[in-house]
Amino acid sequence: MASQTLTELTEEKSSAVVPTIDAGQNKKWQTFWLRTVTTFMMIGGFFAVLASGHVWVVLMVMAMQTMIYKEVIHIAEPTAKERQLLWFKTMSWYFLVITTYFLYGETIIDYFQHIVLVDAFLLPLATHHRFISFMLYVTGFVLFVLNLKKGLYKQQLAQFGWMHMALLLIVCQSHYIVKNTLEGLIWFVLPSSLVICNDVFAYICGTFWGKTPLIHLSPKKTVEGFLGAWLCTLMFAFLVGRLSPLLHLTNSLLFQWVSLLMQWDYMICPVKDLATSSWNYSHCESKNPVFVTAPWQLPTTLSSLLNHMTGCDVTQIWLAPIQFHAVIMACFASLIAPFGGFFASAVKRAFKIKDFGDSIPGHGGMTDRMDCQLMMGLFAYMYLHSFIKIHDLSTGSILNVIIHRIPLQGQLELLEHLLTYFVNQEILHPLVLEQCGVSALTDTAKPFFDTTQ
Amino acid sequence: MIGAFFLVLASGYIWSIVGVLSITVLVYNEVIKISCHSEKESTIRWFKTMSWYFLITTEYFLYGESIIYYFQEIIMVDAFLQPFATHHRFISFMLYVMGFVFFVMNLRSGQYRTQMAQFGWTHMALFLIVVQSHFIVDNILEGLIWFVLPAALVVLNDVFAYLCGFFFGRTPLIQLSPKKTVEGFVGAMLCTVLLGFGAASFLMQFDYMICPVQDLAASAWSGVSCEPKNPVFRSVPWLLPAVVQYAIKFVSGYDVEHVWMAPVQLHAISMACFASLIAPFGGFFASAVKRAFKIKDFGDSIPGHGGLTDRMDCQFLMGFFAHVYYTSFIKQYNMSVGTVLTLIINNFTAKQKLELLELLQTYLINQSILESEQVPQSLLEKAQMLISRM
Repeated sequence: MASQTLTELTEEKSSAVVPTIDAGQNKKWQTFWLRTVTTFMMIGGFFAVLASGHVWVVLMVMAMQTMIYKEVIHIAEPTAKERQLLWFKTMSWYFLVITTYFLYGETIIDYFQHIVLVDAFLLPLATHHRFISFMLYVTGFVLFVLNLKKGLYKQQLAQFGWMHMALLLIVCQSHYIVKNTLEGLIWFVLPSSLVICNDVFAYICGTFWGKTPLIHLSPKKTVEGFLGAWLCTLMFAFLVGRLSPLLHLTNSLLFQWVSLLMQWDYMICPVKDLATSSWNYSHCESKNPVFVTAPWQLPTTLSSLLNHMTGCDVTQIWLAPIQFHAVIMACFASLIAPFGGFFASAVKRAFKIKDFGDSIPGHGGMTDRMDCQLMMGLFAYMYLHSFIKIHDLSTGSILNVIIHRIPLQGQLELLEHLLTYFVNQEILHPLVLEQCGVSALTDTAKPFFDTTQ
Repeated sequence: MIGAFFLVLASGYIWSIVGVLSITVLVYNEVIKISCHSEKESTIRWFKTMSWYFLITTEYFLYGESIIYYFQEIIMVDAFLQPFATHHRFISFMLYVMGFVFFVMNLRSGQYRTQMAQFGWTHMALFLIVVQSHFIVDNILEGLIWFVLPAALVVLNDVFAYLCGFFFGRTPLIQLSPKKTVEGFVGAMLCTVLLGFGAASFLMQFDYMICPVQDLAASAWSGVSCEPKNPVFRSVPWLLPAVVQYAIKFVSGYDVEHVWMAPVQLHAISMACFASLIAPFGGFFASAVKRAFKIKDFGDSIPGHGGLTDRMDCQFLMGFFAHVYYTSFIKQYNMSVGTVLTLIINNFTAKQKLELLELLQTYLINQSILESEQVPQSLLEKAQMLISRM
């Protein structure tokens, strides 16, 4: 990861306090204020988007992804002379659009089956989504091959490969972050805050105790900073699952500001309706049990030790499973996610560039800020789906099964059965059997169905 | 080569899969070797090991997914295999991450660019070769015809492109492959469409070809059969348009009103079009790679034909297309009404059941199967009230 991170107030203070007699001090203050202002703007913007609702968070991730992709593609852009011949920019935008179409299509079909499958226009787009995406890709591939120019093969192929790597490492990974968001905002906030926390504490611990260099790719990182950050991030993760009760303990301004977000249901419920925001969210009925605090019996040795030390009789401790999951995520964030940053540093060294871009004043480009987040988001998705998510049947998925796996005759049969069921349960009036279902076939459909049931 | 192909095919599903896997590994090997040519590249430590590691990890992931999908009944009940299946993606992801971390730790000052290029090259090889060939394996599991037909179409196209080019070739087709001609291209397309139609008609008669895999160990002599067959293989009478009927009567004197065709024959035509028009671009791409790296052939495993990659380059794209086409238009995902009804009754709350009923009705109305003005609003509202009171 590049040497600067989001909340670097302490860094700026220490570098500004160091007395320098040269005229550069003015510039240092300028940079300090610039970075502080942009940092707060980023944090403020982030919270505002977070409170506005799932759909805005998704749009924000999409916007960031596009910016990162643009920065990375820019590195492989041909020199001005060849640019007109090679269509590289157009091609990279085309592949970005179709990849996004494919990924977001898959997600929308998955999460909003009950809306997409029912609509007569959207259904074929959904059923043949993969085929459509594949043909779009093949079109791009064929155009690429037709556009190959003699003598430039190697360069064009290299660009093609670079673009695919960018699509894979940036677009696909950030799409998993979007999927996390749809599962519940906490699965977006928790991983990203762990990465940020790790960065901040790595800097702080490195400043105070840093001695042994960590890796030659990033000479400013130290082993002490790395390990110290790991411990701090673990503690942070452990506490975050219990932030709600903690909020009662303190009246500080910071927690009051944060409490706007910690409307717990808003954060943990999967998205049902894209228009939710922190002001008009609905509660979900079956919360994931991972959030439920339960008493855990302490082992007798530990409780007698505590008794001995503090005089309190503690036999049980209230924990929620999410705290354990957060601790494991924190381990990944501290030990593995930084390698995403090292990888990005290596790319910069390989292409001899200082920063990926200059979209954020004082911080470099968007890629410099987000390089570790991508890998963390992918890990969070894998972990969430493997260990935490409850794969319930939803009305949407059953509808999918009915529409795609049962022939039309069977669908009508099913409708009749359901109507009969409701009539028998005295929920629907018996009149429905005469007016709905098979009795209501349109004239065009009647000849195709055997209505003598 | 052709003899060996038929022998493997007849030996059974498992041997066909093993055959595809071996070809994948050999092609991957040839392609990876290309990025080890120059002096600088061949001195990068651990590159070969890493490329093998990523190959194994990717194959573990892909084959795991297929096995879990096709053999759910066996895997899910086994106490040892079940956790591997449930957490398969997570395990594969962590294996990949370990490879990634190792790669980053292995980066050396002054070699960054070369190592990055090799990393990218490995990933492209994994995608274009390993992932695509895995779709071919999935095709085999759906029914051998979905492996044989696409492969045969590509081979036919190559052969006829050569023959037509030889006899009629004049105008060059594309800069990348100077030996190809427009006449060869177009002639091959016509021949491939006709022969593809014929090949499908021939192959669909054999149960061994058209049945999805039930027992991996089956072979051509095991007497494979399945019921019910995919309707795409059922011959149905098609009414000929009057014009064609007159033409046939005029030419041959026969009174032909109906012709018996199965949908698979028409699908074979669209696949033949892809094989003739699009799949060759896989070959052009491979030629471009050879030009870019100034090599004549990918390898020399096949005497007279160059390396395995030279022979297989169009097959990967075709196999991928066949898979996507099949899963989109042909595959039957049937479940019985009874099973679904039981699922609904047992697993949903009354409110959800009513929601589902409304959704199903809306879907059928939108598909113009049911009339839209059916249930008076009052009836449904009454149902809602009853349920909310429960």
